Amino acid sequence: MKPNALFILQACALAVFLAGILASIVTFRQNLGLSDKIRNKNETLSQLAAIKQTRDRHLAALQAFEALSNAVPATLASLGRAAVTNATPEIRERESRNLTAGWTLRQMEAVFSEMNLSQLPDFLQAAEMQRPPWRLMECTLASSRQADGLGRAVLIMEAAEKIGRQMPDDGRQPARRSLGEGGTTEDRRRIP
Amino acid sequence: MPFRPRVCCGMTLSGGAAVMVRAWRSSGGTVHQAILAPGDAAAHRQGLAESDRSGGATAGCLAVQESLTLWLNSPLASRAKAEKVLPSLLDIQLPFPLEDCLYQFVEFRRTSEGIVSALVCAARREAIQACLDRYQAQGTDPMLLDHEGLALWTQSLAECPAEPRRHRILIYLADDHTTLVIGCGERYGTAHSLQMPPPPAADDGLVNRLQLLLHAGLPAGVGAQWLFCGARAGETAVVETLHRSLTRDWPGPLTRHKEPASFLARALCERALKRGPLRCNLRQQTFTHPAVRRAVDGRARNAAVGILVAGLLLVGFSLTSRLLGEHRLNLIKAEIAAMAGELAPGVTIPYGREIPEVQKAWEKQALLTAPFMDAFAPSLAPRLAEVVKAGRASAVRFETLSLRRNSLALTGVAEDWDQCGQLEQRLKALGYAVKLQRQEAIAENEVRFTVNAEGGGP
Repeated sequence: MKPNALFILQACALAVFLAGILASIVTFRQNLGLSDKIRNKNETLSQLAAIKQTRDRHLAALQAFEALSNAVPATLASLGRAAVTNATPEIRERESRNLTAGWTLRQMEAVFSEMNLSQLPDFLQAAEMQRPPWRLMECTLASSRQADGLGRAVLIMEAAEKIGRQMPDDGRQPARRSLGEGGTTEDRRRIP
Repeated sequence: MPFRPRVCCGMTLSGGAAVMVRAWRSSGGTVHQAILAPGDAAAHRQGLAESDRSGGATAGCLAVQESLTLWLNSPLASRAKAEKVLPSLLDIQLPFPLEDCLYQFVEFRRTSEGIVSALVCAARREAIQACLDRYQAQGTDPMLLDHEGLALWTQSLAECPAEPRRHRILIYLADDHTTLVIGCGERYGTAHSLQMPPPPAADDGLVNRLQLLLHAGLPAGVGAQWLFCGARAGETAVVETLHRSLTRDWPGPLTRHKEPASFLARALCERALKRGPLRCNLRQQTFTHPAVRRAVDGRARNAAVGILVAGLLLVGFSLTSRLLGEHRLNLIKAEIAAMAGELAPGVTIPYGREIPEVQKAWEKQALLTAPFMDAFAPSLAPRLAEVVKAGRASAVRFETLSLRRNSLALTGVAEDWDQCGQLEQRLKALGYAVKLQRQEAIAENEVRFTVNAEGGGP
């Protein structure tokens, strides 16, 4: 190899090597910033994934409601009559608001003026076993001074319902039947 | 040498006759040698051709007569600094200008005084050229031009190890000259050449000259190890006569090297093929062999290509790393945009505002779906049963009870002050932070109590 050619090769090699070193340093610095960005974006992605997971759980819960054959919960009045002897609850609607997909959340107040308090768990269990279920939100009990085991119960309960869905085959239409039987405020609410 | 050959032909010229040894190094590092018939030009040419074909080297040597070896003591303790001043010290010692000769420092030692001492091998350019001409007249062009004295010394040490701190005298008896190498232990001292061949029988002339040289370097009476080699060392009478004459002043045992005729050629091969002390090549600068120059150029070219490739790899890795990083960032951005679009449909989300916008949209949506989720949360009814059970276990009677998700309010009566405390403990066990107020009834025997509790919700 001629000395000039060798010199040119060595000079080129040195230049390329220095360029490589320079590129490595620049890239290293840039990658530091880039890794910070990626870390921030990953955190953002994690937070979004957490929100999505919560939303998916909510949607799964909604799907469970949508899959119910019955979209209207049994009336508290009928449940009260079935579970509690000698006491007819006074039912009042406290609040109602629309939910998603045509569902409505109803919050009802059931007042048992003088009931055997030992029957209260049966009533609550029956209400919560309904599909859609009733949920106890608040409970106030006051024992009677006249007799042991008796007392007044004020129960705040809520349930989701979807008006317009086909009723179950057993033909249970507590709203109209309750109305026929003397009814409550809850029953009246169901009158179209 | 810029490369370590695996095959080597060592050639010495003595009295116009060439002695050649062909040697090769095995993968284990062992050197194998084949002695070619002295003076057989055809065999020598064939040996050289085989060596060339296998990329081997050819080694020759410069006679002691045409060169010198010298220990130089620098006044410095640092080797790096000593290396700078040693050429000037050599220039002072030489009888001719330093520019007219080629030299190589072959060993550095630190003396007992702490200064650096160096062994230099030097020869005049004319002598090197004349030596090369002699080799070329024999049909060879040695790549390596070693020094006869150094080669004799290292080969002698390899074949017959030195006795520590004992003087060692090596006499090389060639057909046309005699070489004397003196050292102590493994340390090389000096080399002398006498242009007089050993006579057929005892000759006082050679003995006297040798004694003169030895007296200059060795005090009389010290023990020495005597070694003989060279073409004439095979003549027992000559060797014994010389040894007998010289041991009068420097007593010591006699050792004759095996295959003495090819001793120097074997030394040249051994030194060319293996690393070791006192290696020397006087074919330098303008005398450098073309093959060696090509090897040097090749090494420089390979180094340059290596650096070039390393540079290209660095550039390539840098660019690739950058591109991969950006690609990954873009993927994450796209994933964020897709997920944000799915969580907040219909909302225009500015870049970087994904979380606040999605949270805002989700908070609106969650109000509509949370009741469905709440339906799967634990009910208050079991908690009511637990509170009632706690009251029964504590033997208290509740008058009012108000239960919400995270609060509980109770009023009632107990027959005993401590029963209220039991109720308090049981409610705490349910997870409530309990505030209990008790008051003694004045007209009754019962204790009235009020409980306000927080937390503990299912």
